[in-house]
Amino acid sequence: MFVRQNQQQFRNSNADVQIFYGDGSAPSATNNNRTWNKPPGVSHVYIMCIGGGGPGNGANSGGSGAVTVWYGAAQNVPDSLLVRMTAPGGGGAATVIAYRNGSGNPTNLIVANGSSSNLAGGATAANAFAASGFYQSIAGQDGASGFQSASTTTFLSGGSGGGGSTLTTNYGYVIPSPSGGFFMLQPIIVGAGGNDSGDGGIGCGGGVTAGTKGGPGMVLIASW
Amino acid sequence: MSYPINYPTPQNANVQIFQAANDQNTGLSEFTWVKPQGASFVWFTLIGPGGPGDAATGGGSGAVTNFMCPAFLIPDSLSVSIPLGYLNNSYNTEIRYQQKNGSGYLLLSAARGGFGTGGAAMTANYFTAMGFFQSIAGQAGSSTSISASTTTFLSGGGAASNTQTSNYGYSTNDGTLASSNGFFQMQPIIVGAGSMGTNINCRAVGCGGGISGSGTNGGPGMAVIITW
Repeated sequence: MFVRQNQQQFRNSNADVQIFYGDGSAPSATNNNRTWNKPPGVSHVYIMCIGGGGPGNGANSGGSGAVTVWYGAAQNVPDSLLVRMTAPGGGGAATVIAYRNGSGNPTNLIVANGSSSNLAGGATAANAFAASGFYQSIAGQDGASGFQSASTTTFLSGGSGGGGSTLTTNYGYVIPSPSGGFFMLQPIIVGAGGNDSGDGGIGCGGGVTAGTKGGPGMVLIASW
Repeated sequence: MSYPINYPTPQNANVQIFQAANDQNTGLSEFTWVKPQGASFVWFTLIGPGGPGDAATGGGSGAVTNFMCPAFLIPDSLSVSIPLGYLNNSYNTEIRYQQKNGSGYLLLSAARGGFGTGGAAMTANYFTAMGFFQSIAGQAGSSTSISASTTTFLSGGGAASNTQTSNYGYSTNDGTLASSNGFFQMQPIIVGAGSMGTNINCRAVGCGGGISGSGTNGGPGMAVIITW
């Protein structure tokens, strides 16, 4: 967990921004769980969940994960949330924000599906928690077996590869062959998948070579 | 250039309103929005210019696009294009991300109205995936009277000597006036009315021009960007 990121884009901001990255092994009931505690005094909360990217299998590159966002009043958000991100190469596990309700399994509030193949992580239908604020869930981009073009609906790209193909993301970023992908928040949020033998950036698909890893999941929670 | 007028200010928000220059010859006004330091969240409202009227029908009103997202996920500087509702104008209200080279990337837009047709709603794109987006089409222009739209607060234009009714009961023509000007207001509630009849220029933001054999101009576009 990285509390209060000391990054340029948050300078002087009155927002508390916490970013959680998927790493290590896949989260489970006993492993790799994180906690977000609501900062005292905040009025609004924005949550963005990114599902992990899919792997390449030799024939196709990996798809990218879904993006799910929620915004609403802080009073509608529990004081403590369970945060689970897709691990690198997470094989389709979702990135999840859940509520520990005191007994039994935690209740999922926000879900961003990961990709387990060349197919993108699917969007998640709104649930009861979504009704308490603004909610949107966008599916990822399918992985390609050759060139990959910028998606018209998401900022996370699937992978590409084969025969020196290039991968083009939104805003004109190009990933040559072979190269790993990337993910960045500034100057504008965008992620690239891997090309050929490269792994994907956060939420993005791995290149077409068998064994490449999709990028991990991520959660960003801003409150002010 | 920003014009923080007619907006409540004691709210710790930075409100910038971009309006077209009052020049019917240029057709498009270009601005730059710079993200205020310390901003956490950003709200965009884009209003497309109103459509022109011709001899058969009034102009449709422009589309309205709203988007809200975290400030730290967007560039520090954005290009803002605000068109006039000029008779032969082909521009939409647009927000662009201008990189070092090329023509930039269209992030948000609000389409202009046409001869009798409302501006089309924008389709969500890769930029809007990380925030909350809504785009509403404009109201069609009319060959006779104009009634309040059930979906947008901007009205199209219509014919002289016909009734014009906007939302919330505002009306510029009870059917007895040969022609009437439109209007646009943000307080006490945001609403706009198109022109009826032969007035050449509809100054009402986003609203349609009236019917005239020589053509009329719709109202200009507008963008409001609020950060807090």
